[in-house]
Amino acid sequence: MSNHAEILKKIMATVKKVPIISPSANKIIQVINTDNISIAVIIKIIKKDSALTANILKTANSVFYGGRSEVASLEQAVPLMGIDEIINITVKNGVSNIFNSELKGYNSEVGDLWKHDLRTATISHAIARFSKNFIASEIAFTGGLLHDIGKAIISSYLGETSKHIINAIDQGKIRGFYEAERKLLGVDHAQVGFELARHWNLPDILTSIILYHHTPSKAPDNFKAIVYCVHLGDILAMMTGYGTGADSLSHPLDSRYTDFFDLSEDDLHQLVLEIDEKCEMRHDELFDDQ
Amino acid sequence: MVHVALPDSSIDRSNKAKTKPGFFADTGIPALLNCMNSIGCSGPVSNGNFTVKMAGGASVLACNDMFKIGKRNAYTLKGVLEKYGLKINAAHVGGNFSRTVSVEAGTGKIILTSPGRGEWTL
Repeated sequence: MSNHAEILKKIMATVKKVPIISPSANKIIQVINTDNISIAVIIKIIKKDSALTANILKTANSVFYGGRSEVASLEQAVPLMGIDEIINITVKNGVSNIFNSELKGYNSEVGDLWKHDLRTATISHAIARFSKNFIASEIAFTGGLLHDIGKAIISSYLGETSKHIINAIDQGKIRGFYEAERKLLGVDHAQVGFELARHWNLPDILTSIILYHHTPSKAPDNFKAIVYCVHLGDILAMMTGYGTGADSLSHPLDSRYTDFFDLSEDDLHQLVLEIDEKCEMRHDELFDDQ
Repeated sequence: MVHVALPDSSIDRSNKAKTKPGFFADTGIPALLNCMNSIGCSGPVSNGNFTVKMAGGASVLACNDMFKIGKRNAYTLKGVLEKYGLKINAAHVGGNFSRTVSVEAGTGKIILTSPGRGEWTL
């Protein structure tokens, strides 16, 4: 058996051992993947998960939401916080060990993966409005949160190779970090993330976002626009200082995003400004106690 | 130290340039000089009195000009500094990797780190 086949077998065994995503996170993801997102249905799902309910109410009563009169019910909290924030908390709670990985193979610290993912999600949601065709911004947000889950698995297999990968990229021998992963291990973090997403039974639109976020032109036609959306979200998260260590800025931009987005230079700068303000508040309020 | 994210404050519609002038290259340098002045750097602004160092300005791999915001930040900063008659004494800019900058207060040493590339002094 070749070295790559051996590694792949081990990686796939690790994927199978990852606990399944929480039932409430899975159900909420299914709900947002429908044309009519029902707040009432989302509240019903959350109510069956006491830990999630407590977490949402805690966040709704934080300073981030203005510290207004006490928010005592999900009926008040969910409309106040908005769907994105509910997805954010639900996904973080549903797969917390994944997002808290240290990513040693990427020289990345605990918390970096989640910060990068949350920033990618926030930017992807904001970029959706520049799409030439309709993009479901809630799915773009969720795809942004989940796009790099494969890194949590693949990181330990990369070992101490990041220095060599960086050298190879600097010398133009490799086109990007994910390509180096494939050369070294026979598989990249997007492919591993895709396998994990399938293990969690996530909908096809999310598995496609995860699999093609570095190669959006290869995505199925019906998902291409949203995959490009998260591709841009990922690139901008890295550009604005929120990468996941050694691979930051070392993934190429696919300039064919212009087939799907009307984005001027002014729009791009406005986005950087808007995202900074949004993420700044989120970081202050949502990272400190988690 | 000022950490800029965008080159030009004229795009600002949210008044951020006033509350956080360091966010833009064109307002960041005057804000830094004002701040330095207010804490005692009251001499003339010149390379005789100042050491200017710049780091950052990276871009993502294979990106088009529009996405080279870091490069434009570095270019704008250089122009603003020139208006004050300041030359950059040392710089580590460009490339496709992020940098973290810190200042050793006791010695004035500028230390750069980048994941996978280690640590070096500017």
